[in-house]
Amino acid sequence: MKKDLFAICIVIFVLILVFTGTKIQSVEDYYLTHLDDITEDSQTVYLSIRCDTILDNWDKLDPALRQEKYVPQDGVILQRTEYVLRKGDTVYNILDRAIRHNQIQMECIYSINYASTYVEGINHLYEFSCGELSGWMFMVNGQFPQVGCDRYTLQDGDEIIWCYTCDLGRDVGCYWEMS
Amino acid sequence: MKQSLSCAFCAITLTTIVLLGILFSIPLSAFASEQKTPYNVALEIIDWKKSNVGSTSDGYLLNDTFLTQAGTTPGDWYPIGLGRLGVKDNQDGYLAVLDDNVQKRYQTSAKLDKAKATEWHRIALAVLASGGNPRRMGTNGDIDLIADGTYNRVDAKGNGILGKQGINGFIWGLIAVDSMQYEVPQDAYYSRDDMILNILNRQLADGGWALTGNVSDPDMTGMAIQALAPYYNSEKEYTYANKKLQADGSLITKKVRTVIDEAICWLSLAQNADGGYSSWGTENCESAVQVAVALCLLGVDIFTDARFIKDGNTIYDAIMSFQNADGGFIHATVYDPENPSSLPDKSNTMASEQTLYGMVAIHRYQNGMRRLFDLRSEQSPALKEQIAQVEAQIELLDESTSTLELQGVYNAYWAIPSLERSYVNNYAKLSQLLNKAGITYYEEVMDFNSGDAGVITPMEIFTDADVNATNSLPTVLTTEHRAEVLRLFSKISNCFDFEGKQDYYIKLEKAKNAIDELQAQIDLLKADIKQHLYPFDSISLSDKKVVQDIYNRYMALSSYDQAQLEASDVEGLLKCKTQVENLQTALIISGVCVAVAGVATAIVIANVRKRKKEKASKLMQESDE
Repeated sequence: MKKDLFAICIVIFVLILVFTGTKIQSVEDYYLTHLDDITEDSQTVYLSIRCDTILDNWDKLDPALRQEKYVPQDGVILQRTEYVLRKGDTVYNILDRAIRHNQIQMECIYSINYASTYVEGINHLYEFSCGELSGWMFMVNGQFPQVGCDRYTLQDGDEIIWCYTCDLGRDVGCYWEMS
Repeated sequence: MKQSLSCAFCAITLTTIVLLGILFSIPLSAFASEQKTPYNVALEIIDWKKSNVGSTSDGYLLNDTFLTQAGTTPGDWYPIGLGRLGVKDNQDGYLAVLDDNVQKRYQTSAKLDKAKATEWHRIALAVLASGGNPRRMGTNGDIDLIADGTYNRVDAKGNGILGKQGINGFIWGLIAVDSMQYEVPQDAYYSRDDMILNILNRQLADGGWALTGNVSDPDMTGMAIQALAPYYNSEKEYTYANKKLQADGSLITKKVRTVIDEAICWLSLAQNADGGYSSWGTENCESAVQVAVALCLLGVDIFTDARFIKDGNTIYDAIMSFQNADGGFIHATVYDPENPSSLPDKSNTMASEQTLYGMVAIHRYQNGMRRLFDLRSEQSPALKEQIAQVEAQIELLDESTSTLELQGVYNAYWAIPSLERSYVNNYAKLSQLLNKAGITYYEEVMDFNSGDAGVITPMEIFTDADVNATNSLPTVLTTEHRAEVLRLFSKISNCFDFEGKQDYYIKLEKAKNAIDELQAQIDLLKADIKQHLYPFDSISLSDKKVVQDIYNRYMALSSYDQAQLEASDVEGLLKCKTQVENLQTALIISGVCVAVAGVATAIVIANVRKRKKEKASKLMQESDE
């Protein structure tokens, strides 16, 4: 009788183990596969990608791009989303992770000569796709840093917005200082 | 770079001398002699850039590292500067890689770019400056960068898109067609005048140009003048609407010369006290360079023309104040903590590449060579002498000159070949006097239609060094060898026959194809990672095959080629591989667990049955008894 009870206990334990899906991982593997999980201790930043200015400049938009899959009705390509901030992360790193996760098209050029990355297009919307003053800009905490996106190192809680401008920044609140 | 003007006394003395110089029209070049010559400055920039790309002072600037940038903005302006300065470098290698890159980009629907015509213009200038022919690009020579990028720049529906990126498309388009005075066919979408008009009709009320807004910008004004400069002597009148000048859209009529003169007035007013220029609120190196180039192309001497000397400071002084100890140039001296790319102590590629060709423009002007963007072969000494004589005659003219004499000077001007008359720097004065004297002059149109100036790529010799280089190529190639293979292949395709040429040709062609194939694999690998391995949460055991396949393809690459992948590509791949492996392990463990559970259950059941049986047989025995 005792032997049976013991066996039944084993069966129950093993089945619980299987059905709760407990994974057996090494520490390194666990760390690697949970790099971007948000925990209580993680530092995070917020990212959104918007192209609302195009909605007001529809006539200037390249006719081939006048479709909802390129320009969503609300102008939001990526809703404000929280991302884990790793040490040394730049604006580019977060954008790169976000577009990969959400399978959004992006094209950028990295130049060894300038040692900088320039984002040419997101979601098939490129510079000059909507008039001669159009292209992508990024904002961190409401400011437009005058530096390449892979040169801007982020801090905990930073709020990044990638916005498409049709007027060299003025329609998204970036006013250049004129002499 | 601080010059020896640090003590106030020196500065005051020099200012006084410079002012006296203006008053007595003493050529001021003498005072500039303590400065480095533009030629030497250009060489210093080249040396700085060489160390920047890991080359040595006596090595090539256009080394394999540099050539990975062929066909991009930072990759093409240095070759333009080198070529126009007359410095021999690895131009053959550059042309070979550029040609191959252009050919590959032409296979996409956007060709070089969907929106930016300036891609064609910059590459065409770089090809010409390096000794190639932009009208015969590609293996079959059927790619014509001039036609596709300028007068026939249309979209799939046949609409003109030269100006899609704004005024820059017209400015650089005009510079590109004028670089060899290419013929614009009658049936072309854009004529030369279309391009000129599209620059004229964007002029602002203050005289200059800007990318946007109503306040002129020195860079855009400088570049617009650079494009219009060859037409300064043109007597053609253009009639057009310009809403910045006439808000009601009524037509105005102007010659290019009038427009340039207005722009020069603005440039003179906009110059800062130190001789430099500010753009977007910051005094910077590139703005001063663009103005200097514009003035050189017009034949204005930036060292002596009083309109461009402020408090004794020339534009050249201002440009030189941005030079660093390492020979390179910085963008601005204002420290901006938010902009590490323009730290005052670190030389900047864009500032340096523009200053390089700026120095070349000044050097060419000072030495009576062709304008920076006029890439035809140099004028003969006899032609130069003829032009100099006409200029000297014009210099002596004034309002008291007799009609007969004026007519004589005009005839001498007219005797200069029409395609060279734009080099007479003081024709404007003659034109004014002719006008006052009522002498009829030709409504000369500077319609440079000399046709293809005929670039011939000379046959080359496949040297012993080239043979050795071919023989020492490894059997297993990586993309690291691309520039070298392309250079050798291009050379052997265009060299005199020699013993064994066919073998080397076959070997190099195979190497070229192998590298193309490898590059295609790398590009596909990158695309597959992006397409199949995200989002990470959705990766399950069913993706095992795909993940394993991508991983194997990655591992099969050489370490040089592996480095072509982005860090996040590799991270994503390793993450997915770990994930599927862990899931696999979990599955095996689960399987074992289920098996153990099954066995244990079976034993329990067997035991229970056994006991039941025993009980039953016991009961039977009892009942029997």
